[in-house]
Amino acid sequence: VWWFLASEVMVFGGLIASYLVFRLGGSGWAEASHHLSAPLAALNTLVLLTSSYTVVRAFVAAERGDGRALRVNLGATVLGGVLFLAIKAVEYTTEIRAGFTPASGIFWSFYYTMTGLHAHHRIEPRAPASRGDRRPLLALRGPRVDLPLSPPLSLVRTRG
Amino acid sequence: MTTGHAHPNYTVVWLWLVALLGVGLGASLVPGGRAVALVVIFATAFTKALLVALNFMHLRFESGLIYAIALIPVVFAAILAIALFPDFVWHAAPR
Repeated sequence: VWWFLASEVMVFGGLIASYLVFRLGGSGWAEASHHLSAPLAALNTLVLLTSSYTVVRAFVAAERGDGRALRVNLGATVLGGVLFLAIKAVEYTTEIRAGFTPASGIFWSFYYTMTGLHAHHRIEPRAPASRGDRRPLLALRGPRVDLPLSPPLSLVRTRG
Repeated sequence: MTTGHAHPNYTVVWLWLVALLGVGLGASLVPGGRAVALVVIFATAFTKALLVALNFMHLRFESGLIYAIALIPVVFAAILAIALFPDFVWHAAPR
């Protein structure tokens, strides 16, 4: 699982590095970033942190053979994933209705690419979990959780 | 399969993560002091990532090889960012 995560770091590291270069070298980013919602970004971060907590609790339950706690925590994790996507959908809808699409500028291209890729990752890890099968979870040895790497950009963007 | 080690107190770790989120959010909302806010936001983000990796992902119980696997791509990403710095320093668009 660490090999997989290392490849993830390279993908997001490249995107974040490019973001920083364009952010520091470009103009108009501060104005564009003011159209984003800091409260929704913070709420989604809370959802991510909580689902990371519940998936690790599910991992412990699977180790102990506690099927009920496993189901409850996996269910909460899946719910967290769905809630994250729902909040992201509200954000996207609000922004697109305001006229900010991926074609609206380099800031918005980065925003939709990075957050869209991040949102996609919320779907993929929960696929085995949603089947209630504990074996994929244990096979990972260390539980798959969400690294809170994107929230800093969510908060920084409000600073202009 | 068991991990063969005692588990950290995940609830305490989660509470710390939430507290750090609050600190970062508070820093982003305080008017003025942009430089301080940026430092606080990135410091809390780094600490959160470290807490998650060490405790939730059990990195603290892993071998040196796993640390190397986890850290090498971070170094490469940093090299990428540093390598691109001259591009915007010398060719930055007017703000």
